[in-house]
Amino acid sequence: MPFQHIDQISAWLEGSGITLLELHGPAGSVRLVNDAASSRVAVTAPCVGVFLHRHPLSQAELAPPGAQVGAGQVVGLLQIGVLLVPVTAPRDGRVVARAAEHGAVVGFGAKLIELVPLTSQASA
Amino acid sequence: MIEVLSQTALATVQDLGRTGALGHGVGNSGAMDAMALASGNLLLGNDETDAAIEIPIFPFVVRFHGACAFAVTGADCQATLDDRPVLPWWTCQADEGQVLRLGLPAGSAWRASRAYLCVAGGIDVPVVLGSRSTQLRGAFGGHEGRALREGDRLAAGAPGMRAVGFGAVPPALAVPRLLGGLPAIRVLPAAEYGLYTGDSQAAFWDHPWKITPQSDRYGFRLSGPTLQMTEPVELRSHGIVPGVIQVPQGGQPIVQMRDAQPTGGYPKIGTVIEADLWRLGQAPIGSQVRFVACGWEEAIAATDGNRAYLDELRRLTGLYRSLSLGG
Repeated sequence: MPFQHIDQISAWLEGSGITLLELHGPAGSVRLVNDAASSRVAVTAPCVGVFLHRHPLSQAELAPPGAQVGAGQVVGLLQIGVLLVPVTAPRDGRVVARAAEHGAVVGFGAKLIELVPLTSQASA
Repeated sequence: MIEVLSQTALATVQDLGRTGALGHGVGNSGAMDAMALASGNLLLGNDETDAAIEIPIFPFVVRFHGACAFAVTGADCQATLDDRPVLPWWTCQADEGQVLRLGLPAGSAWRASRAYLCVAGGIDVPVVLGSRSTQLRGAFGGHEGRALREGDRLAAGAPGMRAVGFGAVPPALAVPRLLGGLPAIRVLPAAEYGLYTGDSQAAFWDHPWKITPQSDRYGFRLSGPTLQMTEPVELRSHGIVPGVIQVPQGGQPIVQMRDAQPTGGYPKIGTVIEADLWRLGQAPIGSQVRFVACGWEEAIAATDGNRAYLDELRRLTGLYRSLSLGG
């Protein structure tokens, strides 16, 4: 396999959930490890509620994919009746995926948002 | 202790109002949006009746001298605490020296015009005739009987730490009332309703009414179809209350609001029910509202609806506060 394609494959890998890619051929083998996927951190629901990506008064998402967030920052809300409870980032990171829809009823511990920690550089 | 840093005029200390003094010629005063005031207090664990700062003009900036829990409710005014965003209808902890800035209400799912800054223990000003509300006409109550000025310092009743970091769904969203996309304000037909022409009666209910720039805490002057009586009447001055919709000669109604004087002599076509006064009180100048006919029983049941929202908020915030303090 031509080595000039490795960069493109690495980029695709980084955007996927695949943690390891091994390619074997007559000329040799390639082993790509996706640290980003293996080190994703899930932001989980602190209680039962209706998950909201944005405040009911606002059109702007609290933490859209690509956003950098700090530990303790409010990245979503859980609505319980008329109460709004914060969903906070467990550590500094970059939001890479939504794991629950706006308005979804979620249980305790449900995965809501995925982060890549800022301290572990995403590399392939 | 908080210090007002902005030059904002017309911000006043208000609670739920000075009821029971109309007989002495003393108007109600009190928050234009009583639901926002009560909700902010409940978020903080205050009494619903504690006083807060009502802010109708932005930006409004205060500095906290000493740690103090606070909540901002009412209009979504893009609040920041030392440049970090504060969610609307949310409780926060301010540290000594931090600056809270409330900006222009904008980009919100609910068009509102007044924000409320509630603090732990309420704004500590003297109770006059049973209330801490500012009585602007009489120049008493609130902070020195006047609107706040730059440099004013106000004390919180019980500053310090509280369980914070949670919020409420505003009643405008939790209990919406809209007609044709406009706030639907329920109105009881008043004493002179029957003296208006059939066309005027129909127009009153069927057309949107615009809040004109001549609208404030005393009254909202509306513009819309001209309301005409079948024949002119002359009335002696009589007692009126916030919510009464008078129609002077020009045929354009005036809704009496929180700082209304307690008497008037214009004919009354209707009265905004007490439970919906907050919805009207938040309508920005230039926006439109609709009036919806309502009977006595519905008017009283509507008060129960507001009560149910506040009771649920009290129950859930109490539960959450006990859990977050315990854990």
